[in-house]
Amino acid sequence: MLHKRHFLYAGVLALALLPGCTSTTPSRYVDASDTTAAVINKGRMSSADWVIISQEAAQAMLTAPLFQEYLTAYKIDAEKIMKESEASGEALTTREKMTYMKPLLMLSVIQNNTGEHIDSKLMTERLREVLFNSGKVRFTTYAAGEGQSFDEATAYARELQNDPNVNQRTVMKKGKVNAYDLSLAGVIIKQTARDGRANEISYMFSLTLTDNNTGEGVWAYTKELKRQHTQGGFGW
Amino acid sequence: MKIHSAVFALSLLVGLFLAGCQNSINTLENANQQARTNYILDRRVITDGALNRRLALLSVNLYPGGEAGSLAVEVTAQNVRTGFWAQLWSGFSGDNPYHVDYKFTWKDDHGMTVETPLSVWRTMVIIPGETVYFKAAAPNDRCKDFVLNLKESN
Repeated sequence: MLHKRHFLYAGVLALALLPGCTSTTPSRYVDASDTTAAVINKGRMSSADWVIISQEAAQAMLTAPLFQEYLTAYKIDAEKIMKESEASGEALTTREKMTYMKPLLMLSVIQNNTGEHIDSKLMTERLREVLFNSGKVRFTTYAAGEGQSFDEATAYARELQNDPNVNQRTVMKKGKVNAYDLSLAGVIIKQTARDGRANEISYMFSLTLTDNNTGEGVWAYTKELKRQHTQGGFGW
Repeated sequence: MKIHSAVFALSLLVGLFLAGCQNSINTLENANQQARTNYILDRRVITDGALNRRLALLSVNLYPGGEAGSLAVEVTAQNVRTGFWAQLWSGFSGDNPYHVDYKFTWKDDHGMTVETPLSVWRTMVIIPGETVYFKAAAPNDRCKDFVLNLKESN
């Protein structure tokens, strides 16, 4: 009789716990910029890693004194070139005058030395957004390094001059695409360490902004994101 | 009487041992500061008294930007929960080291907030006595004001 009662209690308890084990929370939107509440992959790159490195790299670039020096020098040179062009009788449009004051940025190759399948555009697209919206640089979509986004529409727009259906007055002229002044390249390196149940994973991000006129770097940035976790005794 | 003395002596010993285990930061800096800082007045809204008592916000340095760079702000803070009892309690409550989440939001010249990948919630780990710097650069030259949100990490 006593055993039967125990079984009954155990059954009721199991039934009470079962819904809790099987229930799933509904999928809901969260703040993608909140790295403190993000789910982190233990052994792989996570969304929060990209958010953090993009923020830190962009902030470092915006406040880098050497990059500011380059921008100031570029502006002075651009003003001088425009004055000379106008003096020689070349007519510059207002749009040309505006664009010539800022260097043109091209997103170059970000080497992936992590062994993971990662898409560095998660960082470079954010960096490009910050830099462009800061008003410091322009960016080109005509040329890009491997793995970066570029737009073939600019080149294709020139080919429309062979199309009899297109109003030829609206076709883009050749020789109007601007060559880039700056390129952003880099490398991502992964390192892991393990001691007993303690695990460590780190990603080293190294970014370089190069003045393509001289081949010299105008900004360099290195940041290592390091995470640790301890494996549970019976964990996987 | 002997038992009381023994308990007292033991408590003292444990207290001294724990005091020796305190892990806080000592700080040194040059007395005659050379930097041309631009400390500004700030306006605070305190809703978490515990955070306000543990993390002292010491100064707000605003770099005005311009030709030499973007507008940038740096808030200096210090974990002032350094005493023996304070650290003992922090140890029990899991607040040693102290984890604080923070986020900067920028406002343009019309007072409108600016959406940017630079505004993200981040966590800072602060050892008792440690001085930390919450730093942010304005996303563009139209930004004039900022808001810093701080909260204890969950």
